[in-house]
Amino acid sequence: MNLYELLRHSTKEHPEKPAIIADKKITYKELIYEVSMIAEELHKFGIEKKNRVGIILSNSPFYIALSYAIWANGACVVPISTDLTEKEALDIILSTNLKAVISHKQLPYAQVNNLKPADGLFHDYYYFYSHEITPNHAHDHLNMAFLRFTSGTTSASKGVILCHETVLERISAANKVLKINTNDNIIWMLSMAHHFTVSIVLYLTNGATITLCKNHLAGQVLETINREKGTIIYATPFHLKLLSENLSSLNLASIRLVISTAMSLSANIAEKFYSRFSIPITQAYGIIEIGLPCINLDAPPGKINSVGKVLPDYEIKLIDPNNPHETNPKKGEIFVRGPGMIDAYYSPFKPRNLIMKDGWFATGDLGQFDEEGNLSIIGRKKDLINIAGMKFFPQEIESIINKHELVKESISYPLRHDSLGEIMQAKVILKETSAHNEAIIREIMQLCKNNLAPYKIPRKIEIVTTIPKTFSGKLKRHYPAIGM
Amino acid sequence: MMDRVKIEQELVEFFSTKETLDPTSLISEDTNLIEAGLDSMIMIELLLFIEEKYGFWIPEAYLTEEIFKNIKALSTSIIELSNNKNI
Repeated sequence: MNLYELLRHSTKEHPEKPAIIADKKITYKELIYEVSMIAEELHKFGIEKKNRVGIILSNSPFYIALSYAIWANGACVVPISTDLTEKEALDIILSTNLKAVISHKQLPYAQVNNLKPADGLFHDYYYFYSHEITPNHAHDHLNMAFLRFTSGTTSASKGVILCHETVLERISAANKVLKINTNDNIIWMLSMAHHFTVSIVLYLTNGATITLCKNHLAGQVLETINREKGTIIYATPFHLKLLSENLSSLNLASIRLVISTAMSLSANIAEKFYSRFSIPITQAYGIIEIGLPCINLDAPPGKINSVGKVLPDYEIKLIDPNNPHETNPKKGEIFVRGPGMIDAYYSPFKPRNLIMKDGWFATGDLGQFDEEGNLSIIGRKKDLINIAGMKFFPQEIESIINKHELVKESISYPLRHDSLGEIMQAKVILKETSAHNEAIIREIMQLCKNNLAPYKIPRKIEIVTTIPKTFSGKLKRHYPAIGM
Repeated sequence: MMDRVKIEQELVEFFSTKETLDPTSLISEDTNLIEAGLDSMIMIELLLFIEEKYGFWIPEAYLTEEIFKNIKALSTSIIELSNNKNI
């Protein structure tokens, strides 16, 4: 099957209904027409089944149409966030062997790596394609829809492959509780490079409308919601904090659901939002390898830190890492099993059955259930950092810092931040003591700015003489408590 | 005393590096940042930049279209908020 067919089905059912509202309203009929035009253009440029096509664009109706057009050709979407540096984007382009890239800007290294610029329907954007791509047969049997890196780069992360059938399973499971339907108008504020399956695809498959706000400032968002009669807000805690601080008299009368995702929601933001709008925020727990196994739809103010009960189609169990044989521990690592799980990791290739034993996925998050079966995320076992919903590994920062000729080793770690969840800092050990620490720190900082997306750059770098290590010699990492 | 001209220069420099802003126009003190394409990610980077450079986090209640009308308006807000750091 193909997700493009699901959009065609929605279009047959509701051709004149708005699918997307941005600068103008775009009906389902207009959207499918745009998709077919782009698909034809992609085909002319040689895009075929099984090809991988990169998208480096900001949110827009074109982003959505382009994704479906790629699927219409049987090819796979590879989202590449616009926040990444050129080097980070190029790492993905090369390691995923892309047939083409559609980008909002020039890629200066593209020609060096066999990607040639082209013209045509993409006159507002830059289009690069490759005549020759190295065959990679490991994935040939997969009906790939998405290939997304868990942190947006290849370093210390793995490409998550989701097939068309998997995405359909995922959105069907989520919609048993979300009940997205043709009466819904979702106010969209997330990055499409990071959120698309159990969201954009879910909404369009079920005949809903997606409204892209002109900007994410609270006044504009509230005006849009009231004008377009939005029914669902889907945003990060940062966006919800902006809304909760709004001083106008605009309300959310048409809204039936406010979903917070991408990072943990603080009690402070949840309480302020409820006080302003009298609508509770629903926290959702989603992971790219799994989908959306938990949503806090009960969401009474007293359960703010919870991500709610497990969705009907999923199972969750906790395993205490210190006592793995204990059954039903109070706290432990969260394991999830259910429909729509990851099909494979891209490279090194690892299929689903080898990633998960008996279908259980180890999330790396630590959780606990209350007496009513509501799950709370209380910490993490894995190293993943989350800054305002942008996820990455600290090793990405350390690998850049360690490139400095005077650096022996480094560790980067998050600190709590009221608005963003976390911000990064780093400690560095030099190969030799120096009287010029300030200058060295400035050089390291510049190295980070040249090679890392802005949100990954440490806000402070400190030169130290020791960094704690575990018994096995690994860097000892500490993370702030989650859900504060 | 904060130097308005210096702040505006620093802000112009900051926004000039943001590639998702409208590439067809040069960023100047009069550029309407909203119309140029200011999005959540650039806003977060800006808040971090201001916190690092001028020593405070702009409260979310102050993040309105007015403050982003242009760089002059933004620099005025930075100076006013900096003078009143009990926010």
